[in-house]
Amino acid sequence: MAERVRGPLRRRRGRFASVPGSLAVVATLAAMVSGCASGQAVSDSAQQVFFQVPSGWRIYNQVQMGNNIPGLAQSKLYFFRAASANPRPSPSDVFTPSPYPWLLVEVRSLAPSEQSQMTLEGLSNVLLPNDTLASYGQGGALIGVPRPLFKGSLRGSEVSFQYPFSPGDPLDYRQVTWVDNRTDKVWAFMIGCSVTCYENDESQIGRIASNFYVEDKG
Amino acid sequence: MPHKKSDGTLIRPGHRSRNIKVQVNPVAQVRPGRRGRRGSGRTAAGATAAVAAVLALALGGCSSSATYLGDSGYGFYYKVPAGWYVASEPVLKRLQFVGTPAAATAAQEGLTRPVYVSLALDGTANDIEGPLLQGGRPVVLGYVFSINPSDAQNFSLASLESFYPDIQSARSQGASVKQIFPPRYVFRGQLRGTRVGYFESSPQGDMGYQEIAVMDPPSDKVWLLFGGCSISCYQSHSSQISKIIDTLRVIYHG
Repeated sequence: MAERVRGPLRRRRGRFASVPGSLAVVATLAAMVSGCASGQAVSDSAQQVFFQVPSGWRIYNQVQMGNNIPGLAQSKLYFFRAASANPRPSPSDVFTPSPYPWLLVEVRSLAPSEQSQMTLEGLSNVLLPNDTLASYGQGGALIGVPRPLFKGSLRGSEVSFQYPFSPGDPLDYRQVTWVDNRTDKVWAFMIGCSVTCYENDESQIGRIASNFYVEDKG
Repeated sequence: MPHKKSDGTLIRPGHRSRNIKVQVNPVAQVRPGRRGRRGSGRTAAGATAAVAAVLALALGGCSSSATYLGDSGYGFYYKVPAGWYVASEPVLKRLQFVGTPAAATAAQEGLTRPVYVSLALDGTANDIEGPLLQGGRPVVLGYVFSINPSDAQNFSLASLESFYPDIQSARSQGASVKQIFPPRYVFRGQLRGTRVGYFESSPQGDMGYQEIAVMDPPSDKVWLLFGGCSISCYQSHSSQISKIIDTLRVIYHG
């Protein structure tokens, strides 16, 4: 699989070259998230985040995304990546009812007010404020049973929503979110596309989502 | 009854804990392995006894100037000064902290409720007959709450700050509530929680208290140690109460 590792991981391999222990950890995690499928392993060990993007998907960083996601360019994030499966990819594919799946991953701190108020249910609002939107009649509808997640000192949730992106043109997405014990840092993963695409590619979407890995550092 | 406050009105809706279920004597000094929740038989009991012994040493050093309370089944331990009155299970039942019909209903329905309660008082058995939490003698309450799955989904650090006693409810009933110190977060291993202190004044009486409450990652269990009494009593005993609250130890096995 090593020859398939490219992009962000390749840049970081150099940083780990003098640290055999870290290299081993990265190699193990890369193997873990890649399984037997082909793909691009993306990781940031400092941010404890690892995931895999299928080969052929175009990956974007925060700068490349610009303001295709409102407010993103101004956000202070520990980590951000987005990706699109569109054969003619564009940053504007992300978070739209695209006929091709897209994903985004974000690691950020929680403000003191968020730290105080964050609940397991509230984790589903980290990327998209569903509860707030719902109060305006614009919230998404659950399309699956929310699943609480626990791993050591981390807690999280996995939810699937159908979001009314525009009239008559909703998008479906799945979101996996983790928060640390101090409740001051979140890791969020979202993957989605149009309703038809989501239904057709649900098994692949599930596989990609299940490869999102956050390391528990206690 | 002073405990009526703790037996319903002080617990906010959705986190009702008027129903108390305690399977064994909740205020006995640490008796390892009583519940057998994490295993049974001599090995488990022996291991728990060893843990309790180590904890007793860790909590108390080499002195015997303290009474150790808690429940090894819930990994919940704290200590109060030697000589304090410790309420027995019959007393807790009489005060309706445990063993009420409502407790049985809550257990059956899986509501948020205390599953362990202990009470200690700087006084004698006679002193529990007066106003308890608003009285002139420091009182310590140790609680373990089981949190209903639905409540657990909506449990935050802010929730813990007023979980017990229920400050929002007290305010809505006209009580004046003031912070003694700003709420502080407490992080211990996988547990997270808060330490708070409040003065609460209402026509029924006034109360000064501080407490630590911590919860586990799934937010389905809360360990809480409360110490307080009337405001004037609290002001005289705040240092002692603070030291007792400091002794809370929770052993969480994930």
